[in-house]
Amino acid sequence: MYIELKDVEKTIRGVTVLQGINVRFEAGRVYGLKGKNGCGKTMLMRLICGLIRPTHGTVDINGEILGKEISFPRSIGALIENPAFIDGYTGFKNLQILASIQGKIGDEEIRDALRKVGLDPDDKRKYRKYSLGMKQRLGIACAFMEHPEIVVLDEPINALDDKGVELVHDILHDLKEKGTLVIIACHDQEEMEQLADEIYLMGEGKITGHELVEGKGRSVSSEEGA
Amino acid sequence: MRIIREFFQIIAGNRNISILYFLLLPVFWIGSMSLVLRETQQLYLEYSRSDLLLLSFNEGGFSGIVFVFLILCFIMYLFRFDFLPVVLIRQKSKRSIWISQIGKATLSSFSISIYSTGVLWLYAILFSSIDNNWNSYNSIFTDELKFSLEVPMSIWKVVLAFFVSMFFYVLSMSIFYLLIRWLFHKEIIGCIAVLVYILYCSYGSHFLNYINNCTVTYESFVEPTRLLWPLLAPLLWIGVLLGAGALLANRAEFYSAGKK
Repeated sequence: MYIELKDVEKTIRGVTVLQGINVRFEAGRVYGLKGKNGCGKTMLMRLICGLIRPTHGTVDINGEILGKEISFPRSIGALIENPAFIDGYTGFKNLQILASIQGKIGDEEIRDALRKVGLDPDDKRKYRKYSLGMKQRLGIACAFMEHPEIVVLDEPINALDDKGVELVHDILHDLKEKGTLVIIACHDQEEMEQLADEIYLMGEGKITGHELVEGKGRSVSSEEGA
Repeated sequence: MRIIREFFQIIAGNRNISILYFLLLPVFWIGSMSLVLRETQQLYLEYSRSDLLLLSFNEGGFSGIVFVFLILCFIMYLFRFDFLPVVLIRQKSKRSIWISQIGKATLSSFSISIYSTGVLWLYAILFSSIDNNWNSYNSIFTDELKFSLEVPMSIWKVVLAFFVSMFFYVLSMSIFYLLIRWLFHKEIIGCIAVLVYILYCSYGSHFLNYINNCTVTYESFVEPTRLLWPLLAPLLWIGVLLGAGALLANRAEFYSAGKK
């Protein structure tokens, strides 16, 4: 499994939000996207998820061109921006409804996913009663519950307490072990270095640098000479 | 503008308002129909159950803005989660999303039509004891067309015409709303577009007015071609909307999907 972006450019109403993106993501690794607000991280994630199409260039998902051969990656889980679920249902019911779209997993896998993020599958509270942290945990559970080959997480540790952050570490470690391709966006440099194997630095819609984080030793390369 | 947007957001995500639609519908109809009947009674004309069904089309506010608004609340509620990223990325393709939404719109239009026909049928039974009196000298039919039928019309024909017209009317409204949402990804634009579309369709004499009004009148039952056209024309219009959606679907993008 791989994702390859070639010469990707995205223009929205005359404004270029992504340009000259050439990057290849491989299975079994965690990739981090780092940059200031509005630098194009979320747009890049939306693009990989198939929610938007590149104005120029291609997104190749394991040999299939996104937007031409496939509308969405065949096996993907994502948490983009704020998690949004049905207010009137419990967390479990929400995941059950989403899982029913593809019918890949049953109730037990949903329960497992909820336990992994520290939520009680038998919690009778409705989603609207959840705290921000609980909503975030549910969003993360939703992203990986179906054991997708690609997991995209936008700011996964937002609103999480220390325990929650630890759980995210464990989950990402598990996903990596299983050979999942994970892409995360995060503001926190320290967290990013702990979570990701490779970090792509972004600025003004471009990839401006690349850091390899392996066993705490890292190599850095950047267009700006960092 | 923010107040309007929030108002529509509350409507879209609120199950209670959607339920309210079902409670309000009979009240709204019975109220407006009673006013019409009061005027009719002053003319000393007899009204039958068939008349009540037809009057609800033409004078009872069937295509009025209040009715449209109530339907719109229901449609918004129905599709409120369809554009969330967690839902979108689990679909096979963008076209399959469009097709499944059309399926949902068809089923809900069918349910609304069944419910509306049922409500009105109940109302007709309560307020009149005659199924059809279009062969009577002092019927509303005779007053309108200046002649009477030799034998009364079967009420089931009127019920069926009402049901089918209602179905097409709600379906075309739902598909139009969906099409606008696919284009702009904003609930508020979808709502305003539907309200403008229905107002435009309801007033004046133009193409959309002709094909979307779905109005079955007394004349429709006298000349079969005039009954067929109000039923066929919306079908053609729905076909055009469906085709446009299918073409648009594959090129659609979801910039603000996920922001309810």
